[in-house]
Amino acid sequence: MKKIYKYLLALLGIGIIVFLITWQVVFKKSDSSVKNSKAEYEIEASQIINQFETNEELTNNQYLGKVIIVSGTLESFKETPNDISLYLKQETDISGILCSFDKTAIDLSVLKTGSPIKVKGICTGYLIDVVMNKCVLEE
Amino acid sequence: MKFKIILFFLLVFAGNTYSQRYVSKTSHVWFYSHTAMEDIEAHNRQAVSILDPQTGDIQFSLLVKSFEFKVALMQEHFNENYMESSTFPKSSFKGKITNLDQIDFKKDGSYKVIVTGDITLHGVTKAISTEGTIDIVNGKPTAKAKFTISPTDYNISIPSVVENKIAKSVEITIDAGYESN
Repeated sequence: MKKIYKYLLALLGIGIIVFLITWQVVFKKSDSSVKNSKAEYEIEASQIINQFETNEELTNNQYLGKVIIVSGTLESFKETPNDISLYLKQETDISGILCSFDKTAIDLSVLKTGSPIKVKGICTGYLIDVVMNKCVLEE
Repeated sequence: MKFKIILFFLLVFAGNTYSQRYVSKTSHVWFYSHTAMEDIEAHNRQAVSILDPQTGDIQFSLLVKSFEFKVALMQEHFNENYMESSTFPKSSFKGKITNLDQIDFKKDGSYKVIVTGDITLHGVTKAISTEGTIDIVNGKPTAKAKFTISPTDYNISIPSVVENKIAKSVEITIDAGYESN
């Protein structure tokens, strides 16, 4: 009888572990995945803007939903109650890169407008700017 | 696509010199679906909107992939199975404020607005009319509206296995804070 209890307990333990792993992998796969994942492309801000301006459909196929690193100049940043937006733009470009960060993902005190900056995030496409979200700063 | 950029800036800056347009690049659009089984919401804080106080023209454009869900798997299903965001990466609204004469953009206050226009979603365009408000604080307008849409109207098919988890009519909320241009 005692043996059965032991088996049941072990089975329950395994069940809980499997559940927790599944939960973590399937449902909680979130922002931290951008930080830890390898970027598929690393590119200059002007270059990716130019690509979108030249052929949006082709560029969508290349970058949409992918983790990329973009380097450019920080023109401005804005804090809202929910997130922080950084705007990367070269003086010579009409468009820029709009990057959305979770509030906990960035320390505003390190930001200096006019300085070069590297941002890693998921490219969601192009409206009047190239848009990236779930961003983190790259060293 | 350079043409589109030039067109955008023409829309924003051109026209007569008196005309002033408002632009928002970080408009907040979110949706909420409620059923007994599950509540689902997702937020997009990177929608672009242009508001022309002279003509009442109001436009929104957003990237479908910019909607963020709490659960990553839901976001994946939303993009791949329902919205097919690789095929239809953008959604838009193009319309007009029909009671423009009741809004004084030069005077701070809260104004009720009626907006009619066309929503394009999942490659389907439908006419819509909704009420909303424009709040003007220190000369800057913020537009807010809430309305519902039905996924089936936009050819978004929901598999029967998750039918009970996704509402027949989904509530859309808009909150756009404009800067003058």
